[in-house]
Amino acid sequence: MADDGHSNGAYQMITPPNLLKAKVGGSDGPSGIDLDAIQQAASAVESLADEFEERVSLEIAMLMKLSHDLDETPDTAGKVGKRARRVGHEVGGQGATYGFDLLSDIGLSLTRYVDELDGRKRMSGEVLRAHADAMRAIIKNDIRGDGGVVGSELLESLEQMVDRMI
Amino acid sequence: MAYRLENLRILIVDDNSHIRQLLRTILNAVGIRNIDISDDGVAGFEAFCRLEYDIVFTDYQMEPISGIDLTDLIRTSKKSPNPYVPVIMISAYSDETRVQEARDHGVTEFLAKPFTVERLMERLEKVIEEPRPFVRTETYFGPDRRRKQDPNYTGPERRQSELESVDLTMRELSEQQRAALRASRETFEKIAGD
Repeated sequence: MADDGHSNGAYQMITPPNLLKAKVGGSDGPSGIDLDAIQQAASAVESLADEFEERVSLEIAMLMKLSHDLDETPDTAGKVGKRARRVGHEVGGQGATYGFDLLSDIGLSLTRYVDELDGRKRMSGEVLRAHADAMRAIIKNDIRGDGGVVGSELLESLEQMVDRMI
Repeated sequence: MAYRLENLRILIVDDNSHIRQLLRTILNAVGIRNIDISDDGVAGFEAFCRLEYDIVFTDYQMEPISGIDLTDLIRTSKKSPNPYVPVIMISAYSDETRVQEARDHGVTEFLAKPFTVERLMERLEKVIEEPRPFVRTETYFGPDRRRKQDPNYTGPERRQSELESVDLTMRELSEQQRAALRASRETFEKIAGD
């Protein structure tokens, strides 16, 4: 373990030996993760995509139910908000990993709505439904990536709705 | 030369079973077989103390202790067998304040969710190829938070202002976040003091 000598009482710099590099193939020079292995990892993720889509369908159903709960009993807003946020977090935090970038953006738009909703305003079932509908359309039509022009328009309309309602 | 990643032992700490499965699948696919998994920070730290891990992946938000608390334990607990281990934090909370908080607690790399295989591999290569020196001050122990070292820099020492920014980060937390942090701290202190 090398001490760089930058020890003046205020701080000390320590340079541990690079054991990790030594373990994976220690010599100096160009090295890295095998490109074929990265490709295999991408294929392995793709094989999980179907399962992800099934989970998203369940999350969408949950979001629809939450929006109806909210319409029927507005005083459940706190609980509904927490669960809706979890849906947005799940979908937003994983969509792009499986190639559904637009889905991720919509999930994150939903979490933004819950996070930034003015405490004096009532949570809107309409906003939850709009996000659920958009998510459903993406899964149904297998829209990968950002969805192009239509994807940007969809996202923009949701973001404008969130801006109006928070 | 391609890395011999099969020589690595990895610890994944995440309370989300899907993320755990996803990480394991990706790491397996690139040849890493020795992967242990914990679904919370307390069990994660216990596992970390039992075996010699080369890299730790942790979620940010977990209960009873957060990924930040876990990193604190790894870096500063007397029980920690390897305070220098690279810690890669994975989180959807990737705003600047959170990333700064992670850095200020000794996290080596931050990977924002949703992540891709390529981004994950980049972080892996980074901790292998570009390990940062460690810094010990009265209030911090972890990787040097200054990414670029400029040997010709003659300006004032910035480390003090970096430390002040930690307090600023704490002040920016909401009351609810502070309450959650206090509860998490109590659990943390119990583990660290055992």
